[in-house]
Amino acid sequence: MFADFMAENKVLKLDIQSDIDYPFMVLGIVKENESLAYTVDFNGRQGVHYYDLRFLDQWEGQIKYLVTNLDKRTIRRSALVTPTLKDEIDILLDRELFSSRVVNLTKLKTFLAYPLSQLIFIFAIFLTLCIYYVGKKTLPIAVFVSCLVATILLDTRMMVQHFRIIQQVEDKHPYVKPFVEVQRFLEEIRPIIKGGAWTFQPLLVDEYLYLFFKYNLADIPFLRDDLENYPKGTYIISRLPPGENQKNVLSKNGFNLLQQL
Amino acid sequence: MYLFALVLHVLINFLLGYGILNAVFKGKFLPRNIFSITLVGIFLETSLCFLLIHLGIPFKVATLILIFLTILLNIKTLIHFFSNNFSSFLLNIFKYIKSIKWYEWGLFLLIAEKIGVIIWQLLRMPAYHSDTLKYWATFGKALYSGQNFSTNPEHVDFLARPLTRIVDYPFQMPIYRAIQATFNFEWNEFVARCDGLVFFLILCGLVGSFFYELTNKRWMSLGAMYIIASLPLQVWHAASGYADIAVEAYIAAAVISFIRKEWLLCGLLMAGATWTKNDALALFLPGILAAGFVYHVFSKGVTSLEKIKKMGQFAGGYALVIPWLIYQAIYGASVFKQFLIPFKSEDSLGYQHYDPNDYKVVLTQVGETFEGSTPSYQLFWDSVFLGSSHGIFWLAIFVALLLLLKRMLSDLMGRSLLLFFLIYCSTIYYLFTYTHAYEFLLIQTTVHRTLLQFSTAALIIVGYGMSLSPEKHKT
Repeated sequence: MFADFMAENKVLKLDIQSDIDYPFMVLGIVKENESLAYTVDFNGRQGVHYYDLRFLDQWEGQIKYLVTNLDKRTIRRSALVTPTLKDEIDILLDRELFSSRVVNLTKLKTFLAYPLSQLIFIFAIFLTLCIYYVGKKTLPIAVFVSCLVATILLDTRMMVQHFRIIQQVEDKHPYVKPFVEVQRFLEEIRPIIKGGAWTFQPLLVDEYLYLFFKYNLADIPFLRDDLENYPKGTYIISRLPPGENQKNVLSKNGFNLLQQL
Repeated sequence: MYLFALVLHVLINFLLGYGILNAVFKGKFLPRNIFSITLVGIFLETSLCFLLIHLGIPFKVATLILIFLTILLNIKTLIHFFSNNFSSFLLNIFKYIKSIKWYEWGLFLLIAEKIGVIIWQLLRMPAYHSDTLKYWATFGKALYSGQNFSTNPEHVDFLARPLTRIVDYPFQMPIYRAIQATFNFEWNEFVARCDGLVFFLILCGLVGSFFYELTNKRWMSLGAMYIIASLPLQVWHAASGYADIAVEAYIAAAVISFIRKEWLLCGLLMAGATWTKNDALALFLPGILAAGFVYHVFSKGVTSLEKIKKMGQFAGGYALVIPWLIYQAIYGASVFKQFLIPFKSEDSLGYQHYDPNDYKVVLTQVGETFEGSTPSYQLFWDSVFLGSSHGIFWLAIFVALLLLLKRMLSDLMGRSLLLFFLIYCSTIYYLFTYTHAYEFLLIQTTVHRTLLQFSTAALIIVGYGMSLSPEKHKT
């Protein structure tokens, strides 16, 4: 996107036009030695929004290239700008979508180029000193109250996140990304394979989708997917067309339900 | 209907724990232990169910036997409660609600927001997260349905392994979910993860009651509850179907029992934690054992016989999970094998190929980078202390412990708790530096939830330190 520039206090301003809601994009920094120094992933937001890399150690001095994997056609305009307070708030409200990673980590929130928790912690120290010296409270009470106030501030940001996620999931209910196609396929095949046995065509389903199938059909007899020959009548979930001695029972959303003859 | 079945199940859990503690262990019930006893009840229910199905009793019959046993153990107590105490119990709740101040309502509403998000997820989302699909819910669904499941080691469907392919995880959570499905008369997406809500509420209750006991201030108890409830990962874990929040509840309850010197309960809760997830055995048991040992060895005015008796009470409680550890070693993969990988050669696991060099841990061990790999202490600092996954929680915990260090070192219980804390931190550092778990620190997939397991216990330790007044510890 950009070549040979000074990082300074600049952030990336992007005007994204996309048919996809929140397209996943990676921003990467290439330094002098021409190798990718660091990458950060974002959910690109439609319209004009700001994307911050200032919290990275690598975002300083001369930068060779700023690169992205986002399709060039989806970017209407792009610029490197020094952010105003309004832009900083836009960065703070960067949207994190519901995905499988919410149980593992929360995406770093930044404000004024610093991690939000770091800023709030400094505020908590200041508040502790005020409560201790000015409010004349004991140190444990001062620490506890300032931590509580700091937690409320951080949590306010998280509550915004909760309500956005609720909105995002409710839009697609009862289907949920990335299982939408699988859920629709499952709705149709469950009545068919109930009373029979099922398996997969080995290695033809993405690991995560594979787990979703297994859980959802755990109450129907499952045959190991590494067998060389399936017994007659076995239902096989596959992305391939029927092989020898197999017939196609149903095709939907890129999945096929085959039956062994 | 779903929520009603869950409330009924939790009530049965409490009554089972209460009944067995009274009948077998002659335990003395105190209202402050209501949450710990519920956890013990969950542990006893699932482990007895596991035993019954291994004796060849069908799963649903085993559940009915457990319900019948619970009623039998508590019939007198229930009749007494409903005939004498029920109306005064309701009246007390009403009085309590009336006395809540506006700022306490504020904190309560903030906690209620979390509960709302959890219940929304349970009602509106399917089982979604990978480990839930891989094991925790799939095993439970197979057990409940009776398909793809057998307790016969010779059978192809032994412990639902064709579906789960996991050989070392304990069974508490899947069994609990299968029992919940029996209460619910069907398996559904709510049942698949609803225990997380139970453990979340138990965590809030444990922290709230403990802080109230320490400070006698309701706003502080609500504040502590809120600090725990608002940890960013907590609301997702409470509805994800993972077992980390359950471990968190058991460890928090065990630490509270430790502080209250209820050794039998502490042993039972540690057993429950071990029966929930292997992490409890590898990460928490060494610290609790060392802390308990130090406490008893250095406690004054107690005869050696009494000390041995108290240690025996802990051991007696913990012994209930020993059969599972033996079973796991025979039919699965003992957690010790994985934990000791750095001391063993490649292929020591037998079923899993492992090469330490794959994870570039060799020089990371001494804190130096190796082929561009970031040292683990830097990763901990960047992602745990400065990241968003825990907010300011861990920074605040470490600062608070430093401020309280003098007080805690002057108190025997304080010293023991500090030892537990340090052993846990060392174990975590060891795990994420010297074993293949380094990769999970690097890409931040496991480290945050592993630390989440300890977060409530850490706050409880700080709370105990705060309760030691400078004057009090000197005397």
